[in-house]
Amino acid sequence: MSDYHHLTRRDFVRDGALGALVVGATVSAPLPALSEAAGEKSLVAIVRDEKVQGADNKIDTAVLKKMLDDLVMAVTGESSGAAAWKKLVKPEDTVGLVSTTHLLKTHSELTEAVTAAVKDAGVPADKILSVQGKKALLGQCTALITLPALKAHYLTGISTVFKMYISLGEKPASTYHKDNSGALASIWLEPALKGKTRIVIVDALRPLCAQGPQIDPKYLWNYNGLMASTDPVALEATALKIIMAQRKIVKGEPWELSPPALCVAAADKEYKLGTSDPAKITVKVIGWEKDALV
Amino acid sequence: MAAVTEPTSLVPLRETDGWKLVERKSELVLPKTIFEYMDGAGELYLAFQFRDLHVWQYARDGATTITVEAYRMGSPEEAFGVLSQDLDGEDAKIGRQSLYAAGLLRFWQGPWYFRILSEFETPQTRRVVLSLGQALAAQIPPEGDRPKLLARLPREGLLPQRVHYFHTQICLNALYFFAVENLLGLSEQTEAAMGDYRFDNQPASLLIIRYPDPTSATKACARFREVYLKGLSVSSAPLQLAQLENGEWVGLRLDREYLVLAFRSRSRDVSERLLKAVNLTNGGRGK
Repeated sequence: MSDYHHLTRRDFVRDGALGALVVGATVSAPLPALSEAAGEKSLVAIVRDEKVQGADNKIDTAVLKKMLDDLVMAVTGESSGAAAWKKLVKPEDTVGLVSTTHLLKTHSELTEAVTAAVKDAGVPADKILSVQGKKALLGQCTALITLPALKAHYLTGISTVFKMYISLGEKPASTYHKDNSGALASIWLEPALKGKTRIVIVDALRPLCAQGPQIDPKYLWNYNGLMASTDPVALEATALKIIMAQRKIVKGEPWELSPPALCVAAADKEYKLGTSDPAKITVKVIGWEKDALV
Repeated sequence: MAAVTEPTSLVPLRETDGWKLVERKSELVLPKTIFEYMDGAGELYLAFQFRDLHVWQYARDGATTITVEAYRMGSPEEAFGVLSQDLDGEDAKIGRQSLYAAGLLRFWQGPWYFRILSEFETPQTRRVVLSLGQALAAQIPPEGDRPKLLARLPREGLLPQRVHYFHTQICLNALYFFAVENLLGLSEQTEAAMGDYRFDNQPASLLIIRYPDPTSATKACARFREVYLKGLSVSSAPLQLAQLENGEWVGLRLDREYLVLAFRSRSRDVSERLLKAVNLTNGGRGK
């Protein structure tokens, strides 16, 4: 049985990490493709623009496209959006897009913008597949681009990066609820998925900081951001930091996440998918900096 | 559990303030299909004897949709339990207890729990959401009450809007995380009342669990002591108290099929007083 199955509140108390996550020095092994862009540290890029959503929360697709270009340029180190996408995908790839399709959904405008960018990079339209919940299509995919929405979750603490593949895994989704949310990252290591994720782009336009995945609008806010990294652990850890900061704003005092997001530390320490150690993560905020919460 | 008169069907308003019912017949969600309707969220309702869910949509030209969800739970106590998982919001004075915030109205009446959601709030959508709720609440007899176990929570220092009722570990963990393992042996056969307190502006919490039998309570108490209080100096029964590394006290009181936990307080005296103040002799479900 894994260590996180034995975690109690006292472990968090002792580590001084109550309500957030247990982190510490460990061997980190980010996804191999592009981690050199950040040197020895894992890079998490955040692009924000307050004009991406209007007063009615409608998305300005031109602003969104520019945000997306800036994001992939930051992650890849390329000088244009087109060059960045060509580094992420190749014309011979079959690309699976994994979006959040239930409850707090990935904005369709983001999925469409990514689809268009992948096409422009030379991947034929019929080789770009929407694969969320469709395990049978995974075998065809040589690359996955994951587009989770940023949200807290009442069963797993956070439901952003590692929970995205829960409907694509070999075991039923219920396997990872209750006392086993720490194992969410193990799905990423299953043969049908391992090594295929080229980039994770988090839809942080209007995140949910509590009571997810059902939408409760008092916990939604317009962060107006996109986040990305090739290190999924660093990305989830940064997403968690933003969620925690917003929870403090909502309550006016620290508001611990319950249950804690065990999947983040487990993804780092047990499954070696990247780093959750803040000292090994560089967060680069591009654009609107007000209330970036990092 | 209180007997209730259940309406065979609810009839939502056809139109209000220009918002029209998209389809009169509701979408019906059953326990076996709840994850198709709300992937990753069904566990909450299944933890409270979920029977069925009726969903209606309202639309108005150029405006966002309003979604009405009517959940039929096993009893009024269960309907209250769902609402009690999140008690933030303003009292909309609809049904037995209601909470409204930012476009979402939640309330319970009889065995029904309602969520009426306008994702984008305007003064008009607020009016519409409240009207839809009032019309539905009016169709349900106000029978049934909050769980009797809640009456065992001592009143002194209790924050009335911070009282929760549940059965299982996932609900406890969403309110307060003790451990990944189900140390307290919570299940559909247990019922739990939890209250938050303030004494001299300092927080404290109390959890009362009723097990199916004294053996189960004794076993849970022993497991909690063995794992959660491991390595700590614990005072002897009847009040078993220990101080955590962060200065907070955890106290246990075992009494037949009841296990009471006091936690979050930095005062041993407060923890002791709370444990002693729980009346386990009268009241409670089935008594």
